[in-house]
Amino acid sequence: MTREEFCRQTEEWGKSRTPFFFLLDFEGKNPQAYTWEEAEKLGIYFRIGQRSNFVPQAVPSRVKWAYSPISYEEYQWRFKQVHEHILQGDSYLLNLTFPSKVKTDRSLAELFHLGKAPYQLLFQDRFAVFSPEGFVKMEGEEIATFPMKGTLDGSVERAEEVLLANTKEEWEHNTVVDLLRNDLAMVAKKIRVARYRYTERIPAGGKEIVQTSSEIRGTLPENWHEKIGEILLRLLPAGSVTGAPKVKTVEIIQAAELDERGYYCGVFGLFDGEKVESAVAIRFLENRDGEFYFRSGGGITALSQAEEEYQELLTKIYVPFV
Amino acid sequence: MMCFSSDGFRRLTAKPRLEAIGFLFSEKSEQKPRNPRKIQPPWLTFAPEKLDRLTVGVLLLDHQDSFTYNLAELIAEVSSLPLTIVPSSEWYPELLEGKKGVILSPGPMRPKDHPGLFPCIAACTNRNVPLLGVCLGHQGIGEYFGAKLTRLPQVIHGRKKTIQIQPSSPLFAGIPQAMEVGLYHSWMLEKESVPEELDIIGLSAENEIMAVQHREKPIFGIQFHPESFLSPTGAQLMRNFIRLCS
Repeated sequence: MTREEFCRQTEEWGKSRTPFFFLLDFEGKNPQAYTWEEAEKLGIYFRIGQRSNFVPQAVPSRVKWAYSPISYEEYQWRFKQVHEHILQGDSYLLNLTFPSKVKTDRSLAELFHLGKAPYQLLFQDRFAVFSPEGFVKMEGEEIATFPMKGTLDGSVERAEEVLLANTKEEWEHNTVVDLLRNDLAMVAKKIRVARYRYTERIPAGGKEIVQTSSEIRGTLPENWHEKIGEILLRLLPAGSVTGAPKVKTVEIIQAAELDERGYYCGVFGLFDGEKVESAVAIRFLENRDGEFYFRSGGGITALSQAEEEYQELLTKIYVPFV
Repeated sequence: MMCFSSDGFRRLTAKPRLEAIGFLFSEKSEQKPRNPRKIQPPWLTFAPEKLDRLTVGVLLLDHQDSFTYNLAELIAEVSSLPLTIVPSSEWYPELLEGKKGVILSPGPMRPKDHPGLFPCIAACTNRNVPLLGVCLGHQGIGEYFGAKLTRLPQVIHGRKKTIQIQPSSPLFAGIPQAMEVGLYHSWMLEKESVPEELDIIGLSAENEIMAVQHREKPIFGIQFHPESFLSPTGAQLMRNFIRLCS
């Protein structure tokens, strides 16, 4: 769909309160919207919060899983370009990601059925998403977003306290909160930070990780049901997987990364006839002509070290089974 | 000293683009032009009286920043003055007609990288229009009057700090002298280079310039971000500036 077709179609469905599924790419070039029947016919399966359109199938949970990431030398070189831009004041925070080649004995569909992430998507045999990160919710007269920034291995002693006490994480988180406040202010009014830096434990491929998130809310115009497409397109690309300030930061990302992000770091979600729930398409496994690639990365700030950021890219290469 | 004579203006005849800055990729896509009734910038969505907005009220000059709408929210919170947001790259002097005040947004890079910034400061100075520069905007005001920019020893992005302000400045009315503020910057004005025309009205604990005020004109620059959730008295500061505009 073109952006105009997407807006027109979602406006029509919004007016008639017809439920639909939507998927938008990072670049905002190829938004898609389908009724639930259409989605199923096309081989698009999802679980978004409490809603899903598939029955999980039993799949043996022994999975062979090996990956080969970008080399550290190459990562370091590309990291350095980005870091220099941050020191120059061109960006405060920048999300840098790379694909890693994955070898597994399972199909995308099998991995999808094994996954236990709160937001999952299987798009034919093209890609599967196992996202822990919600994007926006629209319900009643309000829009809310829950940016997630800051992670720590859950097995670290008093992980929550350690994570909350980390000032580098705190400053990075603050940047994302201000960025998402700004983005909500483009589509809503009376923006407020309802919860600041709360911690959650989430399953991550056999272990747990602790994450910090914030909740930001705003008041939507009355007729928002008719403007869902427009609102989503305006919010893209999602701030937590971009950085700030967005325009310049995206320019730097596109120069430093290996390929277009496409539906990776895009947004997918549902309108159920009443409310909207959506997620950021991260933890993304892609099928490129029979070869699997997992895409991952993290936020780079002035204080980031290439080695630690490379490690973070590696720890995010997993499918959450437990 | 950097100075812009009136013939240094880039006279742009183009009208401001009435589109949201949120559409990052719209220019690259090969699609047909958008239907303007369908996709409107947010300040039009919420303000049907759009035409009045262009000719009265406050102008917010946006430097491709991602905090611009936080500023817009803050302005809306403390005032009912109509607000016009225009990308800095599309600045033209006629935008000032009827305006009660101008706010220069933060932004990436340095003032010299934004061609609309110095001409806008020059126009406000010449016409005595109240001006508030935030972060990049503040650095632009400093450079315009002859101060130099210097890189911070360590960049500060997303930090809350307590700074000391000059309580006698009308910009800081009702704000405690030890002011908590949010900071995002890589550059700052070099203290020794600040010209006589500018008073320093805010300093960090490290003695770095946090705010300046023109001696004779209603021109203010603040290095910190009143629109950040890290600045609890940001609304009071904006109220003070809007009061100076009305």
